[in-house]
Amino acid sequence: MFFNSYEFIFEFLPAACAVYFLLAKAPRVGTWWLVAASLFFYSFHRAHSLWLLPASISFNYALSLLLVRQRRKAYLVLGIVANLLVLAVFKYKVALGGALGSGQTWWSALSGLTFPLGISFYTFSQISYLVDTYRGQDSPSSLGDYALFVTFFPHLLSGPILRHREMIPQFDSVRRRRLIPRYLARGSALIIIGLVKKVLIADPLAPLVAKAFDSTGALDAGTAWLGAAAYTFQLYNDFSGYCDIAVGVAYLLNLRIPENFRAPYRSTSIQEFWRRWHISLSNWLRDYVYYSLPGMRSKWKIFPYLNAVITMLVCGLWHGLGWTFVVWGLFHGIALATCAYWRRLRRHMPDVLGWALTFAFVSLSWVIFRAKDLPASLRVYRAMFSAFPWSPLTAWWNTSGLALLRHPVDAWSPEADLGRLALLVAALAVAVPSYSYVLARTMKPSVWTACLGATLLTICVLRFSSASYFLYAFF
Amino acid sequence: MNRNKNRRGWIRWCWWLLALSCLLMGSTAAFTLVVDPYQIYHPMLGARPRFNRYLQRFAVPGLARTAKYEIALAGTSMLQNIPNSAVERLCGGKTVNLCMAGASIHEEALTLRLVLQHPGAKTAILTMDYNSLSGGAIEPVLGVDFVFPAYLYDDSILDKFPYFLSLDSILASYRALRGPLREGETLDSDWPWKFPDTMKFEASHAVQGIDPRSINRAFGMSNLNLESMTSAFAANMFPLLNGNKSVKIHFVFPPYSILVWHDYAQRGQIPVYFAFKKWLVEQTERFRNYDIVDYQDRADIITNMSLYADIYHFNERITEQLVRSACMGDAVLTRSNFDARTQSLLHLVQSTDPVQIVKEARGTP
Repeated sequence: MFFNSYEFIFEFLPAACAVYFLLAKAPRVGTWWLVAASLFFYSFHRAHSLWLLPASISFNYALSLLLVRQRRKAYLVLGIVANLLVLAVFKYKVALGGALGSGQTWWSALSGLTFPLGISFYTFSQISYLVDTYRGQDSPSSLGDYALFVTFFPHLLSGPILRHREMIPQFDSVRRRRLIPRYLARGSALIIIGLVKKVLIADPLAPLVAKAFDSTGALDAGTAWLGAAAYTFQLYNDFSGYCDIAVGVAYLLNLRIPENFRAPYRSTSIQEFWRRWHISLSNWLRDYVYYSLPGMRSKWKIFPYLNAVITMLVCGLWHGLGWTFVVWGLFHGIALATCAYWRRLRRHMPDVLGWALTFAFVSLSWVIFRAKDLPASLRVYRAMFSAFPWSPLTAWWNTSGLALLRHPVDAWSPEADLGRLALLVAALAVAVPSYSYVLARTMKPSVWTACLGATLLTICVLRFSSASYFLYAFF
Repeated sequence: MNRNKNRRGWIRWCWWLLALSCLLMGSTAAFTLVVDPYQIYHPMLGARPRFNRYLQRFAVPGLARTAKYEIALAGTSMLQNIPNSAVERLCGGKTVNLCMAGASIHEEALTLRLVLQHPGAKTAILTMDYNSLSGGAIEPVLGVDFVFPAYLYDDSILDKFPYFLSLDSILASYRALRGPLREGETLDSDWPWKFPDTMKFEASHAVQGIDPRSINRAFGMSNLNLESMTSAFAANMFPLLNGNKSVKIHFVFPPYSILVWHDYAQRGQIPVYFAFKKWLVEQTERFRNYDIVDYQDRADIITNMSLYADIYHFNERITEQLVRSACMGDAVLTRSNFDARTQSLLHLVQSTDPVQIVKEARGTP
């Protein structure tokens, strides 16, 4: 089930919340209710991949109990290897199939298995729990709480990646089983903001992106630039929209899950970008990969830079086993290392220049992230930089959202111009000096905000019939 | 004190949000329900319904539920090109046409289920198209990208949100009331799915783009096997045939042109289709309320390419003959005449040459 669906908004969410609060006096039953609801949510479209989730939970829970009893590194290694193996089998099977020989019988059977949605997110959440337990930074919870930590439906499909030690105390708190109007309002506001981002901005951008990246004919500079810009904002609004809804839904249940985005396109350096973009993944990589790599205390000063590159390579591979993700990760790793070196030199860069460079780098790197393979990304880059620099600027002016300002209103066609309008709105939204979580937190309980919220919610719901999947559900 | 005031403020905000959302969504749902552009709950109010050939799958369930009829034509495009008034003249009963271009057996069964629920329905004439048994996913038809609206075909109210709360439904309602007719749209409820004028019934037109030595190159149809065909038919149709008491059901095998049979011969598919046909005939003994009308061995029709717009689709005169035969009980395929009729068709295929047929068709207007 997806957040941008009628079933979720009108049936599942009200039922899940209502029963949860009705069971306030029986917290254990309430917990198991949320686990059952989450499994139903998960299996709504792909029931055949449901078995993997309870199996993964049982294995990791049992292993964590063993780790508590005997803190053996072998158990931890077993847990990490098993989790990564499952992830590799399901997520990378297409790429691995090519490498290992897809003609083999065992491989044919394996490739018949469907991709379990959200596997990267719940696998990483569980690995972090095993590592924290091994390090003595986390303590075990009941099976119900652990199952809820993994399956909690707001984060299950596209994150954010949760930490066990942040969630369990919340599940145990009786105070959180009461309906808190302020949280209800804040959660509703975040859900509406998330839906607006997804349904009204990201989805209308999809045709512009497809035109640049999925077409097979000749690609002109304008279409390529437009596609690259559209994807920059589509990915952000799609993914951050999902996370806003996830945080909003958690608020409705009086639970807090981590904020995953803080206006990343306003970053003035690539380091800042990664502190604002997919924060839960960045933190995870920092805590469990970057700091775990050797050489951090070495006298060789190159290690921190090298480790940044390796960490970003892992980040790329987390998204998929393909050369595009490897190169994308490498680009970001080199950019992070360069940025760190620049800071070490204590050179100053004006914020405007820093922002422009960061935004340009991030946008250009999304091209390789989105393209289906390296030649496809080269095709887009080549089109973008044909007759550089003037023709792209002219093409951009002719095809971008700004073109809307120049042709008469009665010549607008909704299908063609909706994407451009969404692009214009998304670009202007970067300049808004706030972001969704802050907006929801600082919102006043006025009739006008309620009117605005109801109107936006209605418009979003009316667009559900043409809404699409969330992009990150397949990572 | 201040905390309580704050709490009350947020409670009021939540109620406002809920009330206004209900008001706005309720209004849009009410508008769609009142106009009901696809006639799911009642005949359309405020204007004549529009029939858009690109949106047949949206219009068909409403017609099947709320139109007044005794005879229903359903299935693929093979039976869509005939006015209802012609069927009424030939068969003597008010008629509705529920055909969908490229319908799968699943879509056909969903439609038949609605026909069987209709209190006035007495006769259902359904196409028996081999391609509808391919069992593949429901693909976009006629170049229009859509998701099959399964929610319009079932009886649940809980899955009707895409109809009541959708911008597409509001636009369809608005256009039905005020907008001009769009391409592919007609107000003619007597002949809603008439083939477009671009489909010319001429021999030279029928063989356009056809390579007689590899006919399937122009279509890219996949080969079928008997097991998947019978299981697709059984899974979709047997439950309906089992429960049906009152409606007489005729499955009609449409008269594809001889070039289609040459295509099947080139792909080694003729034995598969004959075996399926035989299996279907045997089922008539199991379910007494249906029969099979077969025009596929009609040499006078299938060898005359001037009756076709392409190698599959014939003109409305042939459709009329086919429907009349269904109503009169002519041309029924039975166990006793099965072998003779299939042999006659096979002989026809063996005694003609596709290269010659195409050559002649190209030379003859």
